Amino acid sequence: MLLSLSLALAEPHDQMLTNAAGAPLHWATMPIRYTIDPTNTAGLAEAGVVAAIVEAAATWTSVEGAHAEYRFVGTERDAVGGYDDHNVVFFDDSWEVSPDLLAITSTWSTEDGEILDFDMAVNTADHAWALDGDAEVEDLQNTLTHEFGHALGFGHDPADIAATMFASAHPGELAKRDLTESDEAVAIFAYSVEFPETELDASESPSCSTTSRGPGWALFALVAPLLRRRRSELA
Amino acid sequence: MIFLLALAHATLVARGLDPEALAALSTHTAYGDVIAVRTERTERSIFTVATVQSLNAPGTVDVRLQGGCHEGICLTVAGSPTVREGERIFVFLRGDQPTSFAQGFFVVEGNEARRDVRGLDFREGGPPAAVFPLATLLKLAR
Repeated sequence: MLLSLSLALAEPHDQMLTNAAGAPLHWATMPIRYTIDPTNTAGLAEAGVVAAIVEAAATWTSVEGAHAEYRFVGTERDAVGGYDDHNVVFFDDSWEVSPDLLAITSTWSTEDGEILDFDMAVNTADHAWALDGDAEVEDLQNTLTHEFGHALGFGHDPADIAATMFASAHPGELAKRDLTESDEAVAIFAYSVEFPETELDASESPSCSTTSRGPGWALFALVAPLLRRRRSELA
Repeated sequence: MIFLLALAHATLVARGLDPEALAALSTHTAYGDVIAVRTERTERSIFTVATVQSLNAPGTVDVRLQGGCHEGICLTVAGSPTVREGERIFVFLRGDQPTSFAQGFFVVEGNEARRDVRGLDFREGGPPAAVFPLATLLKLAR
């Protein structure tokens, strides 16, 4: 029975990210509040930056049948990221890692995989960005829609090249601003609203309005220890 | 195999880099056996530190990988490679970190060196080759 259920959920299941402890990443509470530091040296208007990022996040919030809710709570200055119970998207003009990297999403979690904090850093030291689909450079909204999927715990879609969560895109691409059915299937798998709200004690997260998890997630949580053991055996 | 979890994470990469391109972006390389792995917590990050017993130079080299679990908290840094004690690795380094995250980090098995780039997002041409002859990398060692 366990095998047949896993087979049925193989595709979205395979797209869940894991942390270094081997646990699948997931949010246990909603909404996911985040801020934006729109300060940038890429020549992007700050109002346009905020609009693009908010739209990128909202793309996931709007998935019917899922309850992955991003909530923009304001702008800030001099954001730097780190584990501070504070989710922020910011531009980094003093990029210290490899210059070929365009952006990095860092996710803090418990060993069990519950996401506590995320940060997205966009490399403006080495790369140009645009808000209007300039064919020569990266489109901020297109890129960050993908990144917001990662921040929900989703990995790459290996099959659907049109998917927002496919692992490749090209400069100026706008298509991945919009989700495909496979993107939405993963969101529904992990964050369906239909799952009974009995998994969490609301008193543990007083600032959160919802504690929903999906039925797919419940099954995944069931088989996750088996998966980790399987990985360990393979290693 | 359907039970294997995706190990992909969320870093964007400008383009796929071959070994020559990695060498051009790197300050030096490390080649050897991982004899110890530990984690370190800094003010804003967690690092997994692999101590490498060099096979082509005297002594050991510490390679710092962004991410890991430390005292109950885990940091998953998008596209950063993972390492296990006992592995033989070849790494292109900028300072003490792999160049271009997982692109510059190879696990050596026999005469082959393999990198796991599934966690990286590629622009301009898609994922690069994952496997190279070890000899190709050793020619670029420094």
